[in-house]
Amino acid sequence: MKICSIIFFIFLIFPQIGTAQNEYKKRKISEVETKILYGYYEQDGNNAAVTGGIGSEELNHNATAVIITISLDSTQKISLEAGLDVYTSASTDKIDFVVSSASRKDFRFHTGLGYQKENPVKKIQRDYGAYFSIESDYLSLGLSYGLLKLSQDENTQFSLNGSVFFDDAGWYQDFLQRKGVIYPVELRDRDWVGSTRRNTFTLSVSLSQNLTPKANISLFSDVVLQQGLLATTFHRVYFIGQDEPKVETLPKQRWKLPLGVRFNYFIGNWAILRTYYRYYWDTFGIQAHTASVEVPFKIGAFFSLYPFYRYYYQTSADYFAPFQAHSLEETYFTSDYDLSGFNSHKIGLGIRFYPVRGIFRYKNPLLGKRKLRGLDFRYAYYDRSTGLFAHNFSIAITFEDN
Amino acid sequence: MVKKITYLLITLSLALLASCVSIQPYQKVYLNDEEMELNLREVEYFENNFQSYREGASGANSGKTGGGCGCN
Repeated sequence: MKICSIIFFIFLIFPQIGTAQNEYKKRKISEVETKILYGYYEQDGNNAAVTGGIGSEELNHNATAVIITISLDSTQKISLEAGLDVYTSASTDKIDFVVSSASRKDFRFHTGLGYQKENPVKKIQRDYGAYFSIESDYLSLGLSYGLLKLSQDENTQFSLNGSVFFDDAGWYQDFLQRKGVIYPVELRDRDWVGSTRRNTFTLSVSLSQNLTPKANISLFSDVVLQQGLLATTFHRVYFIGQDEPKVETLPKQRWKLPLGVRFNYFIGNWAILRTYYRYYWDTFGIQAHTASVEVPFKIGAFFSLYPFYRYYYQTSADYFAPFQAHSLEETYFTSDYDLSGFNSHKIGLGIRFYPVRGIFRYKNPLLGKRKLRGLDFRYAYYDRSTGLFAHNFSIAITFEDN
Repeated sequence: MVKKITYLLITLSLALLASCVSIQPYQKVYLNDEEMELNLREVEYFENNFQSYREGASGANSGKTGGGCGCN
């Protein structure tokens, strides 16, 4: 009785004892999230399509993007994305054979706007998106719609996405002024392609399922239809016994059917197995298999280190042949080694650091108290059996409201 | 081949749905870990783009599936 009285007295004085573990901590929804992405890519090889399947494929590409997501309330978000890619290419420099001409360097500006609406009762989420990008010779406009449905217990997720892209390879050298496509300098005496437009329609379906408290799986499938100009007009193709090339010519329609599966498994308390397999088929005659494995090791609760490996194999497109191996009787022809038969290996390492309270906090004059939420670094080495190799380095930095 | 793979995926999907075990919210500590997400990482965004330029196959990885030249 005496002990009970003492315990009662202690609880009376320190009422927070016993409730501290179950106390509901109100966490503010992040109102503005900013992501900065940067990617550096460099490659080299000796099968440039611009010069008919021979010649340097040296390329350096810097890509940037800023994605700002604003939570309007607990169910609605809008996102804005903008980025600029700048690259130098040894092969596109050979379009006109003038070394270090304007064709060696190029840029691409891209932007997008998204809106997301969630119904927490029905567990449905809808996404709407619009995209725009422009390069010196290429303009692209896109729209997308996505529907995501979660089961009541949130163990099953079904999503359906549709997107359309309307592209034009007409040359917009002067801003938004149509100039026509770019042909190799010696082939500009005639129109090789007719319409310069390319439309892409995509329907994507996915089904995700929690299998056990430590395993989940997802199945993906896309059906893609591309119509219009699918060849690249500054790619040369050389024929048997001929010195004079022609412009790459490909069918005006291409169906693509990729089917993929992802499986993740938490091994013990400190490692995760992330696996992916994809089968791909298209009407150009390409069949491909992709398999990848990634093992993030958790070093503490917020830091992970993940080595990864990816294997890829594809059969040749029906229209591919190397330099001076095409016959003049063929209707469609390309010497682009991206469409040849090959296999590739990719290996690399990533680092992810996302502490719950962020890495550091600061005050932004416009947005108020902010924090650097987390960092992602990733390096990959890519090696293709055609002799092409590439290095890729990427960073993602996330800022949030504090 | 495509038909076989399609049938296999449909069978897998049905098997998945049929074998659904309801995992309770308190059992989702591991599933809620960000490393368990069934998507591409955001940091892979550009790497995936470059890869799709260098290979004939693309898609089925929860990323963008069209638009842009990709001809460099």
